[in-house]
Amino acid sequence: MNRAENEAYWGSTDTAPSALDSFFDEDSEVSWRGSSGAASWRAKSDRGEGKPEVSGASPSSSGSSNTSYSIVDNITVTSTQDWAFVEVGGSGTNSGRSVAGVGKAIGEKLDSWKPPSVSIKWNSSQGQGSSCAQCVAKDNEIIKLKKRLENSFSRYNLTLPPEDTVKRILLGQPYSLECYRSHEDKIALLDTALATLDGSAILASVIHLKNTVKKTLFVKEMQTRPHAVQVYVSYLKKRHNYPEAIDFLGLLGKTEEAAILSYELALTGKAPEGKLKNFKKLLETNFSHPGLAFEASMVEDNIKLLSRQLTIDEVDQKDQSNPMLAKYPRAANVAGKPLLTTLFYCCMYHWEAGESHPGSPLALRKEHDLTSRQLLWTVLRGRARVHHWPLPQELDAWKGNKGLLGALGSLTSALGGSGRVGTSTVKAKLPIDQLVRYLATSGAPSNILAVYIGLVDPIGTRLTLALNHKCHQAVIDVYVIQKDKGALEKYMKEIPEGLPEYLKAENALKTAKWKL
Amino acid sequence: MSEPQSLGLDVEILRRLSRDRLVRVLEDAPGSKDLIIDGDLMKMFDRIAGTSLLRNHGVGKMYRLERLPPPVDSGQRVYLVKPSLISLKYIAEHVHADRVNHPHLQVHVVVVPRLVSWISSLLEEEGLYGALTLHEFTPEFIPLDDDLLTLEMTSFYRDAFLEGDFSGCVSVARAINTLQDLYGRIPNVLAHGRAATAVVNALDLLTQNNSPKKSNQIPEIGYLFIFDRDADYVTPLLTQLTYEGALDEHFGIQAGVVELPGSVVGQEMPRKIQVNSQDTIFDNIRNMHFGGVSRYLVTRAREVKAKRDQTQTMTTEQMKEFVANELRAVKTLQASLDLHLQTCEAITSATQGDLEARLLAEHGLVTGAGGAASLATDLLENLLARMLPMPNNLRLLCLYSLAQDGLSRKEYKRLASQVVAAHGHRHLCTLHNLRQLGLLTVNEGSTEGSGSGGTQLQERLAQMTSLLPRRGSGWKEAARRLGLVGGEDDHIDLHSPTHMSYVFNGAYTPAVAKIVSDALASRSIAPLSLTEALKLLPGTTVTRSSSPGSPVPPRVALVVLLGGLTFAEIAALRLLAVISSTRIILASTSTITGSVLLSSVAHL
Repeated sequence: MNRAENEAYWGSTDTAPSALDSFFDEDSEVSWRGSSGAASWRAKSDRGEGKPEVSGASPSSSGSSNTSYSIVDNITVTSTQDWAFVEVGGSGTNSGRSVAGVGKAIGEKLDSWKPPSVSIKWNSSQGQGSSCAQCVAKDNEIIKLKKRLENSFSRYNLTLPPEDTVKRILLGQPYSLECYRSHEDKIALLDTALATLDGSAILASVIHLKNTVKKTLFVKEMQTRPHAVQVYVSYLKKRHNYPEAIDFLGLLGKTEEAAILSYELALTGKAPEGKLKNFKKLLETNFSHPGLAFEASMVEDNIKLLSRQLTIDEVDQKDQSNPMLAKYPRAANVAGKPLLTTLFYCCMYHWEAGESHPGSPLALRKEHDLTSRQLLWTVLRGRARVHHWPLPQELDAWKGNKGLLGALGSLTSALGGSGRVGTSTVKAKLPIDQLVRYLATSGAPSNILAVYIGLVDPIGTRLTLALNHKCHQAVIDVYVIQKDKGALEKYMKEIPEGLPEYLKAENALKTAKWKL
Repeated sequence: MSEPQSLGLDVEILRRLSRDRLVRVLEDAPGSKDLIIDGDLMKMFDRIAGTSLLRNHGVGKMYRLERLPPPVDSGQRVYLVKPSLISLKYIAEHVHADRVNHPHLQVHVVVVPRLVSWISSLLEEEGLYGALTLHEFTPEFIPLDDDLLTLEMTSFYRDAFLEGDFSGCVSVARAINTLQDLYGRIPNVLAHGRAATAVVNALDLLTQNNSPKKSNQIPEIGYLFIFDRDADYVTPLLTQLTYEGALDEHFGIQAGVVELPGSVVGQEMPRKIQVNSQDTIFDNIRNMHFGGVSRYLVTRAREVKAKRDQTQTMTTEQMKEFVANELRAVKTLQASLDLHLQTCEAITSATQGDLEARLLAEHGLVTGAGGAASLATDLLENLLARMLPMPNNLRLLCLYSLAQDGLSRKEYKRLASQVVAAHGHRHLCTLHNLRQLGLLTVNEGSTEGSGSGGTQLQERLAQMTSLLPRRGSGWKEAARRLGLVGGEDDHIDLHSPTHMSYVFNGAYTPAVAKIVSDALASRSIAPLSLTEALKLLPGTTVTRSSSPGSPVPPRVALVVLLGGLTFAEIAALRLLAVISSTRIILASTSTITGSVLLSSVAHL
């Protein structure tokens, strides 16, 4: 605040307008009025004594020429109207009304609404010289007023109470943060905004702070205000300013959040090759913290998977020899898909491929940790997609003995299956009823179904399941185990005569041991 | 169940108010104009106004907001958008593009529901400050039914609880304030949670501006309850069992409209149906336990058939009378019965087999039944291995975490890597979000994390934050204190319910319904036992009660849920309304299911 300028401005008037008196008489209101006056005065002088804003435009449309944040630019929008209204009303005390129009500039008022009569008076008084007694009294008064005005420029009086500003933001009224210049004021504003929880107010005051103080100071203040951090970071994210958000979180010591955000940023990359490069960089920087070992291992996993997927896509796009690729054309590239989808894909197209092939399900399994459950479900689903339903023995063998895979393509053994695969992992890991339902809906042949139904315990449930799915083989098996000849004889009527199951049932009736 | 008009409170008036306000906004751009609407807002505007209203106020063509600008057909263009960065970026691109060929095009931007502070700075950065005119449109609560209001602020949960942006609370407060303008200041208030506190604060600000005359008005609503969604996460996570809840879970009810796929209704195109109390059949079954719905529908169908059979033996005279008076009603009844039987069938066949195991695990977890935990993890691992839809899998994961008061680090690692394997590595971010929200809690072992990396200060800060009380843990104690689990020893009758826990087979009472019930039952709105129990939920409590000596408050309560309301809660509160003979009006930022809730915070 430049004193000389100050006087130059105020000096242009010999006397203050009467309305100004009333301002200073109301002690309680002095603070914000004086201050706002000063603030806006400063803004005015910045603009080189711009013309007053008198156009009574609506808040939204009038801003056309305003591109600054200054009070004048933001406030006049409604306050010129407000003001006129108050003055026309003619009341000397304009408390209630003008409180609503906080931030009205005294200078502005002097300039813009000083009615013609007043300005004439001022001019004439200036012309009269200063020798008369009246004038001495006036001079004294001027000195007194100047003093009060100066007082009103002290720091505390300069700012509007933060409550008022925050309230204006909440209610969607025009506001300005320009007057919050001392650090304490900015912090007071921020804390008032935080107390309301309003995102709009918090963000406005955080950004004001950010724009006006150096970074270390900003970080220091934010350190103790987690809600402000949260609002600011999500704002940066929304604006796609990830690098700054990551940097900021890092400075605050929020390593995990910074790491996750940097991963999120890497994910936004379009080209998989670029993603891969970014992931690798992350591991060395943001994920190096020991507390993030698990997350780091996941990112590492992602890198391995994505690299393999890229190789698979490259190979399979060119591959003309794989009959499966011809029979079931690829719907999309596998790059970027989840691990289990990739396994599904590999089971579909590369079931019999050796481990050296990039698409080999065995190789995939070797490289990534997969639970038996994940393996079994995905293999079954992937194979069912190409109308191959491996038997439990095959799955067991596949799981345990990686080399045997090629030999297990055949299904012939299924025909003789009577479901005595007691200690199968399939049984241990999967809810068989759901598995059977899945196999049935995927169109698995009845003999395969019978083997899986045979794994169900207790036998009563097995029978229900077999009957539900009309799986004759499984029903016959149950009755044989139960030695229930009558039931089987009755069930014979359900089986069409031409089916191999019919013969089987007949055979069983003759040869099996029955209860007497 | 509902004879609201007799109580004198007509919520339909709110729709008229919103409509009038919309008209005013449209007339701010007088003359003909084209309208460009944010896709997210369409459903809401559909509930407020029809196209004819828009046409009457100068709207020519209407477009959905997209990246490319629509053709310029009139001199004015009005955008209706949410305060989202993408929408505003699109608008900025449109304006820049159209400026070249249409320098005189007038552009108005209406921000719904609130013109927040950063919008004008964004436009300023784009060099567009002043080039377009900004407006604000704050809708009132939109009535979906006599007792159900919504603001259709579908991103409220994510904005407030994940991103810490509670700016939507001002819009909620405005809507409540309108109700107070209409029906008098609500004397008794119980609000719990951060967002609820923000709403009460904003409401106080708004009522300061109201004319003092208003405070003398005799209140027609006696009680106001405001809760945050995080007061009860268990309810949305549990599978809903009422008919309306099941309908929402399977087909999705948005702003009171369900879209049934063609395969369900037996036609080629999907069919949109408004579900509310005007459909008498639906009104009867919406809150029923799903298990009893088909039986009811079949019985009613038989009655209708009997009625139709009667027509065979009618005299001409009787027939004439039947056609004149009853035929129409019988026909609509028949159509409604057919529809609901079809949807019932579709839901039953979709849930077949899986539902039973799921309910067993869910209810076991909540009631703390022995062996439930291993049952639940077993089920969860199978669901993940089968790659079933992610939101449903995450629901079980979160429920498991809440009911166990958090997962051990080891368990988290195991389950998290399975989630990632099934749904993609990018959901590392989703899991992080769930942990931020307290939907998923990991109890850190004391021995872990004492690495040497990072500065000492950072280490210490990290330690400090980990010591802060974690949301999401301590659910067991809160549920016990509030009496949400079990409670009644009697067998719960699911089909003619007397206890609110029927919505979850008697295993659990939605916390919001229980708190409202306790408050309405006691003489003061917040009895000590209740406020003590509320301390265990995240956030703080605000209470206001009518001054002693003031007249007995009317038995009308407004219950507001911030961040989404489930139909299970709605059903429970509707039952409470009957039991406690109170009219209960439910309001929320939107109706949700657990899957909608979790999808909204998942990484895309």
